[in-house]
Amino acid sequence: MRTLAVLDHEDNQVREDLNFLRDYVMQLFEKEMIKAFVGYRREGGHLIPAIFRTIGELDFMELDHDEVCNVERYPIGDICRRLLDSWPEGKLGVMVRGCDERALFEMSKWNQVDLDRLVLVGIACSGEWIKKCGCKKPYPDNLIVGKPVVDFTYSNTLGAYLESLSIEERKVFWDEAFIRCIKCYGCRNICPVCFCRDCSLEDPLLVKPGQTPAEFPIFHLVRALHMAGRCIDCGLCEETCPAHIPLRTLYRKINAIMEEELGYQTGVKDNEVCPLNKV
Amino acid sequence: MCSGSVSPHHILRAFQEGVDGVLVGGCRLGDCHYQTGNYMTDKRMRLLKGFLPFYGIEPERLRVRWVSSAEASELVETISDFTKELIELGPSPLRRSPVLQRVSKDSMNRYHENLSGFGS
Amino acid sequence: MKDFEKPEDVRIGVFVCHCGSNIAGYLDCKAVAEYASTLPGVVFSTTNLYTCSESGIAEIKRAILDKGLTRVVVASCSPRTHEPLFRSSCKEVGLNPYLFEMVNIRDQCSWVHMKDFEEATEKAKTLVRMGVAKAWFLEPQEDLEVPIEAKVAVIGGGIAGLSAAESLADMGVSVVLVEKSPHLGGLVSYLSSLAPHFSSPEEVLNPLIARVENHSGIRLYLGATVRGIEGYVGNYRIRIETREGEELQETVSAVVVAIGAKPYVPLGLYGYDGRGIITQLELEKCLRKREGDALGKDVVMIQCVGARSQKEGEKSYCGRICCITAVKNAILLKELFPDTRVSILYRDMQTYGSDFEAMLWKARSMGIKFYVYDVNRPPEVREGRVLFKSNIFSDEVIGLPCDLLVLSTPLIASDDATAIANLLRVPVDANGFFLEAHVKLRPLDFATDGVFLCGSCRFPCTAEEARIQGMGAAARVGALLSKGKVVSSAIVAEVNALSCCGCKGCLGVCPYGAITYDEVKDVCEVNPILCKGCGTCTGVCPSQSVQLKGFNPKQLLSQVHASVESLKEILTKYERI
Repeated sequence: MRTLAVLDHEDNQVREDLNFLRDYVMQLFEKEMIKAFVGYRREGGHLIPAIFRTIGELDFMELDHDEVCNVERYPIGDICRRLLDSWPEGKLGVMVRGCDERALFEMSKWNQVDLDRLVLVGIACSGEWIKKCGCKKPYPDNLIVGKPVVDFTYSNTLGAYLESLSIEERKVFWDEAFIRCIKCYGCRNICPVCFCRDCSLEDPLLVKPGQTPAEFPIFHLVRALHMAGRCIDCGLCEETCPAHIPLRTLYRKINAIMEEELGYQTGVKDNEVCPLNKV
Repeated sequence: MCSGSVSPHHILRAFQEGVDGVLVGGCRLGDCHYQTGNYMTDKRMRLLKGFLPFYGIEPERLRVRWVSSAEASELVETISDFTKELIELGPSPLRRSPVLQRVSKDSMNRYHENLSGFGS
Repeated sequence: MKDFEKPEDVRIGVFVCHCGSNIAGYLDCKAVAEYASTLPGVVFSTTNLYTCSESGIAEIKRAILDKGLTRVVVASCSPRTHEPLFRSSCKEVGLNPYLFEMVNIRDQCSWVHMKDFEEATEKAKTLVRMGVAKAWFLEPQEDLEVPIEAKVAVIGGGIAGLSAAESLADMGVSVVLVEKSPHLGGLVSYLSSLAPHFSSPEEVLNPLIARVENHSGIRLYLGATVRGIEGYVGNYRIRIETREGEELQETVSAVVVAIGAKPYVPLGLYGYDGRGIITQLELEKCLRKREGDALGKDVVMIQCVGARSQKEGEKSYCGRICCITAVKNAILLKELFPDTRVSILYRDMQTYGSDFEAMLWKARSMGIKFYVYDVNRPPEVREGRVLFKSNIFSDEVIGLPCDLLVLSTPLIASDDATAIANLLRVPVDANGFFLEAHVKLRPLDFATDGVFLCGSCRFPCTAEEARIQGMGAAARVGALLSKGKVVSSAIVAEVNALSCCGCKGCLGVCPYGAITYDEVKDVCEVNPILCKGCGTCTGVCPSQSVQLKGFNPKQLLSQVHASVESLKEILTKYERI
């Protein structure tokens, strides 16, 4: 990747012009580094992920930086996994935000994607969105487009507020949140790291079937435990939830414990696997 | 069968059904009949024990104890002690405050009030 | 998606055992059986005086046939002792043995709640309800059969190991014999004579060693060390470092541990110096060389030196064969040098069995003197005399002249015992001797399948006993190998290839390396022979795709549900909710 002419360009400053991306992907095609590229195109007024197989098709690629990062968010990791599975040869280029990349790193540790078959083209999230989203690392390692914003403070205000409550108050808070659940499974379906083929949440002996709200707290606690060592805090679940359940806060907690107790951080590219999965 | 076969699912299900406490027992660490199973139990239980209070279940309600098969009196002591502690704690919060049946206006308002200002 | 339907053909029979008064004395068995009859799926329930008796078993069989039972639940004692019996009884009348479930109301109810009849009864009901709930979801299973090769490793080339190796080789079994020292024979090769018939050790050992050395079925590794052992019955892989420092591997079906013991050296006791004050083994070495005249006219032996003692560094157990050794050596001395005066100071003479007892009387008749000493007032050695108070009722001090003092010390565990125990994952006792599976029922087996023991590594024994044990261990191995296969339990983990997503979580936690990943199918797979059924993998799988047969989520979660339902009933009944 680093050998590409474009990257040798001395001007390493802001590359906000998203047309730059188009040139970049074009070169990936020309150098035969990828067979296809997952980017975005506009459909009915919305940006949706799309697969581009030729340089010609790149004309249809839409590259609105703000929309890609802020408004139209998709589980790119999950899309990549399915594409790689159904298309067993060649490399796939893919445009990733920080969270998409974290998801792919984590998925590779769980043997769900082969990073060697992916060429990551990273895009940094913009300042406005960063504040709203509040993730720890709003830019990918493989940053190609945009300027990484690093001078922001990660805050988990709701989490901190809940920690300040008494245990009884916390239970009331969560019960009031969980009772709103309409059991749409949106949190699970959108989740890039929910890759099980058979979901325990649908086991009638574990979670009572045929009722809303979903039997709680077990539905949410089981899902939270499954997020241990997996959730990369992309926030798609919370965004998807029609009942406004602050799921991210729940999953942030389990992974904070994971980091404190077992020393594992999700979404990092290294040789560690989740401590629950090894002796 | 090893304590390593205890899935957090079983424990969560037991709490959901309304038990006041769950005791997970295994061989002493380093002395596992199945070599390393109890180290896995240890990891899972530390995670679960840390997480339960964030929802609202007292961590004391989940006790993990390593005892060998030759330590009958220690096991008895553990169980008696745990029972005593659970009696002091009272019924499980999942049993104490029966599950809200539907969303009351009050709780809706309270919920929104709580969430506003957190931006998520 | 998941099958929530309970199987339709469920007809459960419940048998509640009185165990005489062991259970019925502490809880209401009849009430438990009546309660069981109200549980869903139960079509028959009864009590038995002894369910495991011939009539109890007959009743189970009759009920299976007459009532068409498809599941059997017995509420009695520990599955560790009785499950195999009940399972095979089911099998005899055509019911798959894994459709049997056992509830332990003796240990868990009548024993631990002995003082509360009502409490014990309620708990028994809860446990039976859990058993019945699980029985609903039991599935028929088949045990696994794996062919095994007739090849065995014997560790230790003393008389026990030699005897085991020879017997096995004579059965046509290939034997790998590993001995740490450069020569065979062990402790026996240092002895002067063997009790009780004073046979020559050479006459016993040399032909045995020759047969072992020349046996085509025995491969011998002398001066070799066992560096590693891995595997399971039918497939133990042993890493051996040879005398030349080369490392090689042998694959065998079973292992016999015969590493022997070593003598206790009584440093600091009675002025032990290895010259005028020596141990029985050192005396034997002298007697072998017939160096008797240099030994002196007056010989005194002290028994229980460093044994049966609570002092630090000494052994608390009885050395078992030291009395026999002392008597034997005293007789030898007297026969070789009739003028020698031999005295034996003892606490209790343990010359068990008619032959050894006869030896003791022979010694007495030869003029060997026996004196009791008081453990609280042990003998003292001063200026060539041994002083002691002979009678516990008097303070009279007896002083024996002493040219040679012989100390009878016990055999202690070999230095290698702990290392071998760790490699094989078998237990040793507080003194470092190996622990057999059962002292009476399985004295030459370890609890681990395919590992056996014999000789003084089990506990100090005579050469004759070591040989008997060696041959006995060989017979135990023979019984295993003669079947040509091992039957391993059906209770192993299994991956559902349809729902497994190949995340390898289970693979990473398996202590036995029994799980592999199939690249092509993108799923994990369990090798049922390597799997020991611990279930550690099942605790990690988020999609419950890897399950332990006989302990699957359906079975366990239905037990959780049943227990809580029952507890709620109890709370309501006693108005404690």
